Amino acid sequence: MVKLAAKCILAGDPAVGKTALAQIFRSDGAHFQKNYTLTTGVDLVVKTVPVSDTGDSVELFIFDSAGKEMFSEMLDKLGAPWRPHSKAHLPLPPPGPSLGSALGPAHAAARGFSGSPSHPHRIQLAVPSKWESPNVLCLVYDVTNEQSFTNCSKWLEKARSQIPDTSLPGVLVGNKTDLAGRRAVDSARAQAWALGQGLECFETSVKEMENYEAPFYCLAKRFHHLYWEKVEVFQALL
Amino acid sequence: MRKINLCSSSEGTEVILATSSDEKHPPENIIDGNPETFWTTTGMFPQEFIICFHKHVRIERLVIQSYFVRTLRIEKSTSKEPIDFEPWIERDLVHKEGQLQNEEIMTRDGHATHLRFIIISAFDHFASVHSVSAEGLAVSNLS
Repeated sequence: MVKLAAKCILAGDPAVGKTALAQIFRSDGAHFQKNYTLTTGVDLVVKTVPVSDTGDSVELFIFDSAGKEMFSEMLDKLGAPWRPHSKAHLPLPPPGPSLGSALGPAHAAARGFSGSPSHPHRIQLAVPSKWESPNVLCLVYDVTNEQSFTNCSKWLEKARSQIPDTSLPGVLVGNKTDLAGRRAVDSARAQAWALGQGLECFETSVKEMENYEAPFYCLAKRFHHLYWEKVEVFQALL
Repeated sequence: MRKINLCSSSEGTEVILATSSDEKHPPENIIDGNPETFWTTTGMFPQEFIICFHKHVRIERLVIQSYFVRTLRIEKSTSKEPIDFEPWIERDLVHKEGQLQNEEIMTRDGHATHLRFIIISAFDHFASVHSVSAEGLAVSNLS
């Protein structure tokens, strides 16, 4: 019997329901937040998930943060010289130079060091620690919001760039299926994209408490599988 | 006094703490003298283990066999209890696919009762430690 621990990054556009998903999972469906609040810091949800057909389990450390990531994404782009691999793939329109000079030093100052706008690499320190060393990824979009789906490739790219030579198990979660009349992304399209990216695909309605556990159980199972693969590698070394 | 492997369970040495434990690959495997058996980390870093010699020793050379370990920090204590650890050694290891890491360290000021190994980061989601040996002298018993 083994209990694994996995850092799970919850990524996706603001207002797709990341916090609601994490909170409802934490409370086993007892809690749906009716009023939207923009997550400004980083919330951590810790929950142990059994891996079916084994006595094993995975303790998921779910790092939830939102909104201001769009902001840090812009900083990433401005600070491109220190991370060239994330530069070419960002679908965001380039922010104007005025935005750059306005954000750079202001943000730097907020972090308590004297960065100068002519040294954009210093902004590296502003990237939230949530993104460091992820083990699994939960990518969330809103099925009624086309843009939130297309932005998933950007979030995926950002998460994968954290551990460039290592595989990152992930799931794609389309939330808000209760808003059937407003659906803008159909299941087959999401499925096809997810398949191409090696992600497993789910649809949920956090509001109706439908299918909110399945993505996390899937992540636990995939991380567990990865563990056994590595143990086999360790065993084969001698 | 002859030089011996101080990190051996047959010398009475024990692993008294490990932050990860898979019962199939327990931390005792680190000091059982068999590099085929190993201890695995089970997710997220840092991870650590503490080796207790149950006596005062002076270590002259350390050899750590591992896989996927990136940054390793070793602290030591000269107390009777596993407290008051002080920084001692820090190394960035190299990863070669399919090849056990074999890190040899000639040590200075190697007086210790306990060693604390902290795996700060790794090259993958998991890392393994196959053996730790410490060549040196047993100095005296704990009072």
